[in-house]
Amino acid sequence: MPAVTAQAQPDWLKEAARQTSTAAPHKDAPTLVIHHSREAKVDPAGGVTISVCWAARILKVAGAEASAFAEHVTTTRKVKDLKGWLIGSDGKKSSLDKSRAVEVDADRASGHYDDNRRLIARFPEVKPGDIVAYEYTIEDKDPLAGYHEGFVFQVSDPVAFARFSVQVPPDWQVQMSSHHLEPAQYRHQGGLHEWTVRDLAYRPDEPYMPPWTELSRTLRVACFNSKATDQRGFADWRAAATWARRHQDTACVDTDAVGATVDQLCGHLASPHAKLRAIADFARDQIRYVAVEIGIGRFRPRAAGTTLANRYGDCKDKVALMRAMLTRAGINSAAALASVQDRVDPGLSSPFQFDHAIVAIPIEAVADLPPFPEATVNGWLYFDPTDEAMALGRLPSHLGGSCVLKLSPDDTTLTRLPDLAPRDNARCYRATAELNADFSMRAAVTVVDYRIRADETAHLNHSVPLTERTKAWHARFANVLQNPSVTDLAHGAGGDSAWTSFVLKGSNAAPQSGPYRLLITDFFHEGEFADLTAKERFHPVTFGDPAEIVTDIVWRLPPGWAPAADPERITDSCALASIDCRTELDSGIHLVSRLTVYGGSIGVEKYEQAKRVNKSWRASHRMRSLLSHANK
Amino acid sequence: MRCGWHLIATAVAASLLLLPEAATAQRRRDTTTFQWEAVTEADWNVGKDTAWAGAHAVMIFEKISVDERKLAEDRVYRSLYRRIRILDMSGRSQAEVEAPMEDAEQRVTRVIARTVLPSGEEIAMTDKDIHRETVLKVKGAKWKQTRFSIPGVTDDCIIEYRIVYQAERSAGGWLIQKDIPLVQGEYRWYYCDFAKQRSTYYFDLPFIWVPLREPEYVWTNVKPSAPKRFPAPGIEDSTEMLFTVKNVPAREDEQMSLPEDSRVARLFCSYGTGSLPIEFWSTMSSSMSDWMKDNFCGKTARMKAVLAAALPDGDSEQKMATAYAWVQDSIVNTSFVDLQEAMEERGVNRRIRERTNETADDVIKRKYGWSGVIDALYCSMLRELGIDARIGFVVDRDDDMFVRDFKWWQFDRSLVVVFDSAKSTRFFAPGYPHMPYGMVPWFNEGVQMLLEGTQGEFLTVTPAGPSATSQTYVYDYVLVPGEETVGKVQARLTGHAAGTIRATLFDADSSEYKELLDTAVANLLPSGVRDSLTCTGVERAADPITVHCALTFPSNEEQAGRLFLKPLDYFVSRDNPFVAATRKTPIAFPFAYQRNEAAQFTLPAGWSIEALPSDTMFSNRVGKCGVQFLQLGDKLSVQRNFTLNAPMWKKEDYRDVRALFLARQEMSDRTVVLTRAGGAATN
Repeated sequence: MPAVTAQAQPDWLKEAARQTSTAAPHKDAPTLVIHHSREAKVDPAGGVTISVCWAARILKVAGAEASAFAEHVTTTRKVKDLKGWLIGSDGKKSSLDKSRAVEVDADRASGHYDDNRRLIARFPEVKPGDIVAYEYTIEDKDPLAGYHEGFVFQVSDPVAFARFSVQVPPDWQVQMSSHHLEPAQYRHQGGLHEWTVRDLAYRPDEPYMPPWTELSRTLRVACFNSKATDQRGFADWRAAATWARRHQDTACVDTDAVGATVDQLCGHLASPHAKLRAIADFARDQIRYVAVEIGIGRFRPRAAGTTLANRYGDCKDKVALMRAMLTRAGINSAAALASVQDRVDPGLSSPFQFDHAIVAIPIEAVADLPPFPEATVNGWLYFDPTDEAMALGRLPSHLGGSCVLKLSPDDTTLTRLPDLAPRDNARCYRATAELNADFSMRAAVTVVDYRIRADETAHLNHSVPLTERTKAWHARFANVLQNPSVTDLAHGAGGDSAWTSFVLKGSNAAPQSGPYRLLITDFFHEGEFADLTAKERFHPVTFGDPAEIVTDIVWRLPPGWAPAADPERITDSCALASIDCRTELDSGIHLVSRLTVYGGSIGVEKYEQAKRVNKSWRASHRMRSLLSHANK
Repeated sequence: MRCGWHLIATAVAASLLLLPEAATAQRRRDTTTFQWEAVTEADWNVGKDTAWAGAHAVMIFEKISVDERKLAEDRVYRSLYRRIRILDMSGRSQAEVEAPMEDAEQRVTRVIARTVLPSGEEIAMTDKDIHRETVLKVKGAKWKQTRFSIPGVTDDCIIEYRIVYQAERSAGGWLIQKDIPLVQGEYRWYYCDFAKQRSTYYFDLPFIWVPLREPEYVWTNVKPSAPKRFPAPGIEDSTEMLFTVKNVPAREDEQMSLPEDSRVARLFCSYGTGSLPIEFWSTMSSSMSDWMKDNFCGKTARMKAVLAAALPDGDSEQKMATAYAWVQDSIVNTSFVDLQEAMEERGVNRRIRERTNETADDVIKRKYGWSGVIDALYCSMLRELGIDARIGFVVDRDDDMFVRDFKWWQFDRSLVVVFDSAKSTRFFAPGYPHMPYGMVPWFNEGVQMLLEGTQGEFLTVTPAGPSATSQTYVYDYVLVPGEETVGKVQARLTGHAAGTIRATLFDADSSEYKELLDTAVANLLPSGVRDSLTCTGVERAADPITVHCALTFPSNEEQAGRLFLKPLDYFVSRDNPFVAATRKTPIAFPFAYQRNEAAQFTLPAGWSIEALPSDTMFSNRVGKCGVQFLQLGDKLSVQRNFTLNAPMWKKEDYRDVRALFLARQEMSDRTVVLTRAGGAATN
């Protein structure tokens, strides 16, 4: 049993329990965080010491499961003096037996190696009504990354009290970046900076909400001493870029093998653009993604020659190799740091905001480069060799509109990449469908994707066997049509589009109701999107990345059967999306719908508009056509 | 919580007894000189033919060598050599390799790997590419794992690697089937000659002590073939078996199937008695019988007193039921609850030190026991009453299936079997809390049972019929166009459906009850948003459980003056798991059941029913389903019934299983047309 006889509770815990004893949080909240404090003290000689106190009142079973202690540890980051208390709702008290703490590999994955571990400990039986508390110290001796600290005041659970402070030595300064921290009180005295929040209400999970990484109340600070002789933090973006560029350039070294590979790839090519494309394709396709992020390997790529020999590497390894190859081919380039998980704050000049690397190529270096507006900013073309699907000239959707730090010695700037437009992520479903006399159906289907989506589809067609793709399409129709079959799957690509075609068959596509038959007019989308139904809304609403979905279905009906109702028209729009769906009737039925998602989010005050549009597009996707027979 | 014979057997397997005359331990180094086998033209042609069309990679061969000749000294040497043809970009993931986990008893001693390109160029992995990481560290123990990424891999190449490791335990066998096809596999077993080693393994359960000295093997899910047996080359007096397989397809998942371990091709290698399976199971069976007779029932004075005091006069059926209730109510089941807490709830406030119960009277005196002992106690009581009752052993079929030819204690649980005068059999599970009298856990239904006191015969645990698990639903919904549909449901559940709720709630305290109830009923109610959930009947296993709650569904949108209502969207919904045209493995449902649902929809004011779908009924040997639609004034009445006759079906039965579920799906799409008075525009 990891619980032992109770040690004396600290005063902060007694006080937190007393102050929140009558709190009545939202009925859905799994826990109430009654105290969370993190006090960071920067050591001028290197490293940070952080004292942590955390306590929560458990409100639900799910909260009990999440009440374990878990802290990230590495070879340079240790947890010390861990103590824990469990105060039962019946008044029983016990302490954590820390000898039962477990250290586990934190993010173990195939082809991923790192130093990250997670120290975990928990009480064996925590029930709703109990209070769980932990107190410990973190010693972080990382000479650089340790000065970049983050604190999450709140994600979803209600918080009664949370405080973060950082104490820096004289001559040190602090940069900070906050997100949704309007409720925080900030205090600054000498080298002490302190943020406190109280009584943050529960925030529920909702459909079509932005990701929690965007909604959580967070603070990031970066400490630095610009007067130090050796590097102690980063005073500005130039310092951050210089540090990062040094690591990048160390690896970006031409070797005989690199040269031979470039000669083999580009020797027969005269056009700089063709050379650039050949090298980009090679870095993307021929180097498989394997990340060895151990020690300095977290920041410094492996030498280009090593990556080439291994035929594997992570994002920065791929970037270093690609740049070395470009150099050999006479094309200038720079590395650029990007962030996949979090939004980059321009006010916080820390390289540790980034978790990804891509390549930037000055367009003047490639004389015959065609325009690539979706991936070009201020004369630089950006390319992500880690994304297996994207061709040169396009960027993956998660990088659209994000900030990258270009590590060019002449032009170090924080750059915002182009936003994605709906037409960059478009799909068109076309079908010529025939309803047979026995009400089975047969449709010749073509699905055409454009731009980013075309790249993704082309990659899928290349990497997933025909049988699996057929199964995936079959599964899509399995609960819409009776007994569906998908045959004759074919695909192709050209220009900025990629297409897939197949024959779809199903039985009973028009179920009987009295004298009528109800045709499943749109068989592509039923059940594809979630519904917005709640009366109240807490978070902003987003319908996701910009996208355009066009559906065009022509139905031919069996002899004697005809539409029994007037044509339908559904149109609606709001700042997030628009829908335009109509049916035209003659001897058959022609359905055309266009759903355009503009991206971004809208505030709670416009929730009703989003809800209405969601309802409209749901209605368009669930549209049925009433058919009647001439003789009935 | 599961606890039972399986854990005992596992504990024994992990502590196989070595007699003291074992030879003196001596270090042995892996001195084998190894050279990669030549890459042939045939290797390069793998994947170019149509045999493995669509595969990203194909394992050309897997060669495993297991040297257990020093098993008596706790030293086993194993090596694994795989050659894989990479056929495309996705196939490159085969170059990410994990060696077996290392702990105090097993460690990897050597790893080598290389890539061979079509040009003949070879790229060898270096030591710096090998990562040995601590996966888990607790006080006093560490688990490590060696992982590596083979360098130089392209989308058209051959990779190969060899991992050598040393362990203290027998390898146990070979998992043959992988996530990619295997063209050729071989498993070379240098087995332990216990006679020469002057030692013996013993199989140790409470009731049996069997020496295990003979090497034995069993194939599952693959065409069995006899191994080649010969003395190992150059090694004096050693013995060797070579098992080979060819053309094993990749694993495939199918919905509603048996656990993966029981579906894939495997080879079990172990040490046994050398007897035929029937002899082995006969020994097990009679030994268990002897233990029951001579040990467990050796002291029964208290039991007799209980029977005298607790049982009413009446027929044997009444006595059996009363004894069942007494055992479940009076004995704390330590497999499922904390003994100390349970005793405190019963007013015992002293510290309890759990002791092993040797006899029926021990259990009655101490008032606690694990589930197997509770089964044995109930069995003893029935015998005392003159009823032909016996203990039987079964596996939990949601974990793995029983392999009769594999002579090893595979069982997870015991049950009590009663033979009546007509020689029909009934099964009881008193050791499973809240299991109703006459029922057994669903995961023991349909499996083979080893019965005590037989000549090694097995009995199939008869699954309860559909009427044993009855689910009756009554819905009451109000329709308003453009607004959410709200309604109420009352569900009455018996048998296994009630059991799944009880299993979740039986140990819940008031602080977590509501939340656990919501989780427990989530799959038993329609998919709308639940509110005001209440439940009665959980306390007594024999009672049906009744659930009430309010439900809210998304709105129905008016379409040109009409509403197209799919009433069965408001019923308990399930996707059809049988959309595939063919089936490769047997079909396994949790349990047979019958479900009857009746809904009443109040129509919106000013709306009427314009068209109703036809009533339909479908029936075959797998089950039946039907749906009826009826207009009753301003209300729509819809009824659906569905019966699944049995939980387990052979793959040959798939056609009928699929037909039943397709019929259910087709009925679910039935749509009612409602018209606004004077509002529908019709061509």
